[in-house]
Amino acid sequence: MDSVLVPYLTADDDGKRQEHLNELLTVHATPIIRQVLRRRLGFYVSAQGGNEKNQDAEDLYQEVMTRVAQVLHQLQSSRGNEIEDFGRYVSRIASNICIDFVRAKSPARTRLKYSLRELFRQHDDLVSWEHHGEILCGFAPWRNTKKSAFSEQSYEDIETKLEGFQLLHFADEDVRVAPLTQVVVELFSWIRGPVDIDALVRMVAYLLDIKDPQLESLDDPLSARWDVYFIPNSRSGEGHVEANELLAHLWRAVGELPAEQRDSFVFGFNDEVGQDLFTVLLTAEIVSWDELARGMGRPVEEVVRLRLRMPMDSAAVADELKASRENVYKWRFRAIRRLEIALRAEKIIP
Amino acid sequence: MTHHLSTLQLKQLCVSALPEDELAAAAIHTTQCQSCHHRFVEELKQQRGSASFNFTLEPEFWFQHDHVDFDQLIALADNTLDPDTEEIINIHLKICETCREDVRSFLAFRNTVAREMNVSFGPIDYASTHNVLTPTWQQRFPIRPVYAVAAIVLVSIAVLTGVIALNRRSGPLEARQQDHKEPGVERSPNLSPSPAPNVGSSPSHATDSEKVAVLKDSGGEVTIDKNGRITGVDELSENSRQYIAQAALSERLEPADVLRRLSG
Repeated sequence: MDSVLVPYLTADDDGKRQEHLNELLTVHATPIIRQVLRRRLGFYVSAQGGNEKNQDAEDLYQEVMTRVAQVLHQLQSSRGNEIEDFGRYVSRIASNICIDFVRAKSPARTRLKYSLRELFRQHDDLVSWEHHGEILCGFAPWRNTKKSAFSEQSYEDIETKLEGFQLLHFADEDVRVAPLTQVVVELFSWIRGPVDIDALVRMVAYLLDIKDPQLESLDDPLSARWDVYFIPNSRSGEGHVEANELLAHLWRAVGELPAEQRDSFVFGFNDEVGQDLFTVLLTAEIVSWDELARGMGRPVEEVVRLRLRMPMDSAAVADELKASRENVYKWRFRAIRRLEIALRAEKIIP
Repeated sequence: MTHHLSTLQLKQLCVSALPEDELAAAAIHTTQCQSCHHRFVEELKQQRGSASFNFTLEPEFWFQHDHVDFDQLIALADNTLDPDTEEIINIHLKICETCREDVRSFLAFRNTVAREMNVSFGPIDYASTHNVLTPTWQQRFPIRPVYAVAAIVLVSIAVLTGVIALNRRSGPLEARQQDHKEPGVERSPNLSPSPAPNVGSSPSHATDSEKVAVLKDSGGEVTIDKNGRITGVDELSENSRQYIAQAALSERLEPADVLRRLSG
């Protein structure tokens, strides 16, 4: 049994056990879950598991946490298996949940959704509009009205009804080769009211038999790709002193950047193990909290708050800087270029 | 915060696992307390383990998760991206096969839609659609070329019927004039509602007295006699001429079979 689990498993009373459970979840499990979500899906959640801009990320984080808590509970009641490496176990749970998510989130359906949205942009008579945070669609005269009751049915019911629809509207032809416009017009006429675009995507995907190829392996290529970027820059074997020197130069060069470029770079920074820049600099003893605050032109409290959310995805950086994502991209892009030039000039990188 | 941080608090500070105000208080404490700062750094090192510090400035790494969204797809297709954004998107596309396929699929679909839109002939009158379950023929109209052909036939019928209706509306005056000049052109009141039209493909030899409708346009003269013979539209198929003649004689528009089938 992994030694980090022992205090939890041997706790005398419920109060102590709960305290150790909290520690296992927040101190040991959370950083691993955040890292797996980032590496496998590019999903960023704060240290508290939040991401206002990405509900999927929050849901996945909560799902993994719940699963880990269940496993720990079973372990404590002697119903679970031995866990030799808790960190690895958490990582595996998180990875499997990510794979399930990728399986459910079909790229082919995303493409179909893009096609449908484009159709609604181009066609005068077919439109989409936002209604209470949802994208609804239908015939032009339905614009800005609420969703029809049709969408409230379970998808199983809708699927059954789609069989009837197909018999009624496409009895003499293969719906799979019919133009998308025709399929959509027929569906809207059949539904008789606005429908949310995701429901429409599901229906059209069912009718046109759009499926994604099955994921054969749990080994996500994204995960393998992550390491590729670090191999050429790897300074393993050169010792911590040189690695720290590299970081110190980086921090100095970051300080020379215009504020927006600096922030766009710093907020999104991940090192090889997925840690944010503030944590890396503090761990390597390059800076103290005060120096971090001075370098970022912000009070310590603000730096602590930022670290809670770091590393951030582009949407979170845009939100933090109250800027568009496009601007964040550009600032970050220019920051990388400048830093490259600065570190090359100092012969820090080849 | 005046007390030293507990071990748990230090661990929680390291992974930011405390409420925001408590985190700030703990961090500020470490800025003032050398001992806690030292313990904090040691805990950070322990949590990191033996991993060396390593980072990358490869743009592909930095933009690997910035997938192309719908608005960017549109801008990409419209060629309205600024050079920086275009370069960034290209960096991402280099490493993201899914987004590459998204772009390819989007551009292909856009071309398809453009082709489809070319056979669309105008707005659809949804307001007059009382039964949405069974769409009107207009709703289905732009979908396929066969409908376009059907539409041409229908439009021809409508034009001719309109002419007949106009003739009838101005009946007394025209009737008088025709009584005087061309008495035979007046419609027979005893005309069967659906006579079997006798549609000839060659120019008619019917006399003016047998004509029930005359349409003059820049292309020549179109006439229909009371026997259903139609002249001046020889370029139309026999079926189309039959439709027109039947509609003119019966004063009723019978939808084409294809449209009847479509409307269920």
